[in-house]
Amino acid sequence: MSILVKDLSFSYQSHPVLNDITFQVNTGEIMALLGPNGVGKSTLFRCILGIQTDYSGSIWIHHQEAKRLSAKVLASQIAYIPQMQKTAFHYSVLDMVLMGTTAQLQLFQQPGPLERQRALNALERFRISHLAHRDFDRLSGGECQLTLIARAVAQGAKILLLDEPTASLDYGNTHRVMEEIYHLRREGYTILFSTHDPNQALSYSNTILALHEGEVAAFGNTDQVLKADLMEKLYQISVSFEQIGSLQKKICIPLPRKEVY
Amino acid sequence: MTNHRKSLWILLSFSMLLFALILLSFLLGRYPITPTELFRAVGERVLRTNQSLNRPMTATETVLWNIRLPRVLAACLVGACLSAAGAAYQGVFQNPMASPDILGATAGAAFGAAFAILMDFGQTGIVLSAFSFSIVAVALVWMVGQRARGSRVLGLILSGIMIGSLFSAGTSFIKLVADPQDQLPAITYWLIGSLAGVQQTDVLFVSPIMILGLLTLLLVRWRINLLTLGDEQARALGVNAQRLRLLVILSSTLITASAISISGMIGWVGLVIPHLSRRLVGSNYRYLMPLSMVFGAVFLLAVDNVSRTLMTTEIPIGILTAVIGAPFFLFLMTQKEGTL
Repeated sequence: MSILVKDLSFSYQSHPVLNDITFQVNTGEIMALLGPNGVGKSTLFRCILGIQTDYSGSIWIHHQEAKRLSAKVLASQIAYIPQMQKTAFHYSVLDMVLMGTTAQLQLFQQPGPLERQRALNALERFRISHLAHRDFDRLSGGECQLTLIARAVAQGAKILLLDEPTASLDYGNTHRVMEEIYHLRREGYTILFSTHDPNQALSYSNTILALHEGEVAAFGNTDQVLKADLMEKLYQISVSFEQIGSLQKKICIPLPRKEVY
Repeated sequence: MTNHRKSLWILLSFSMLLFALILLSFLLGRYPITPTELFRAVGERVLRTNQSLNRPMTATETVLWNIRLPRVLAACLVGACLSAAGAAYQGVFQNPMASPDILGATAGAAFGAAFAILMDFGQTGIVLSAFSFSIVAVALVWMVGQRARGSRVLGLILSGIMIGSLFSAGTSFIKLVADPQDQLPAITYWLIGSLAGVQQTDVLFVSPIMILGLLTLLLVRWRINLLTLGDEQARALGVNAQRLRLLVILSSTLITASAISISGMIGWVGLVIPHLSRRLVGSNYRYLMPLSMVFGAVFLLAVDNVSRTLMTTEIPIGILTAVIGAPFFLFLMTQKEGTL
């Protein structure tokens, strides 16, 4: 499954949000979406998911134009993992994951044993079967995020969009959730995640798309594109990229502000 | 499977309770009917024996078929409809405080009924007028809500409040100009809500609409769960949120309008019964929707029995639902959580 976005522009009430965005993610790739708050990362996701459709340009999901696909067909190809938020009502973790199977049901159909098994398998896949009958709203941040990822897997879609998957997680859970996402890549998933942390992009992504004022500031191989000058352009801070020899890894460290006087 | 089994058992128990209560309701009243008489009458009706076709109805049969049956049916249907509509609206608006009057259906019906009383349209006229104005009010709310900027859900709720208050103002004006000797009391009595005036023809008119609406809500009940997550998630999970919401609102409005048009303003049921049902089976509409319907029917039928047998003059059910229900709800609210 690949995703191709071509010349995408979107304005919200004559206020331009996205301008001429072009990029592609191929099967088995992980793309990190970088950019400051309010740059249009969520809007880009909303366009891909078909929630916003009045954009110009085109979005192709595996050679089919996304705009022409029904919600049902689109949901069988792309799954969305939103930022955690309180639900209005209390659902069990199992019910929450079961909702992922809705795209495969007919309008008047209820999920049956088959759907239930898929939901349980998805929970098992992320080792959270023991949470099945717990209240979704009372989970910890990490469990919550894993439940939503399990729901996406139960949905059967092979492209995953994650909106800042680790935004409100503690240090340990951030690592755990990112590792799970990273492993999915090997099962043929195509993954897009938005983040503020360049180190996450360095550790877990093949490519990055950096947005600046609604335009593509950089797109390409993470190692080649993610440089100090890009970080300065995006966030107006000085950073240094350091090679950690013993781990064969690069990390990004912000530098203290230079004194003007 | 434990949760599934438990929910089904609760649903089954309530269904049996409803059946028992229906039988009991036929026996209660100013004209007492014994169980034997009831079973004989039902048996003759069902088997259609010769003598029952050729002879005129006995007094017992008249009471049974022409007075109690429409009333029992009306109580069950109105209870089921108000409760189901409340549950549906709560899901659609992602708000546990939503009730069937949120989109102006009640305010519209009240205006319609008051207008029909003012114009002396008669009983059938009142039902038709209340029903039509209820639909008109919600249709207006829907149209205005679609044009509102920003959140669709918030737009609908706000326009519901505004158009509701417009119709309420209209009702107040009608009360002002109505004849204080007979029309004003009739309007006031209608607004309190009562099943005393329900006639066979009214029930025959509204029941197909009610059953259609209830059936639709039952069929799409799983998808209402997805609407409670918000449009974005619903859409990403493969549901056309906008279209589904229209379908659910349409069905809920039809059943609310039908219910109110024959019963008057019976508040409270649509808010509280879904809550109590949620306590029993959780938030999953797969179980919540059918239980809300059965529970609503049980509740309103029970209260209606009290309302027609407690005192010699009948207490309007609209008063009793609040008097019985509100303290019970307050009691549950103050109980420790985790009864679920």
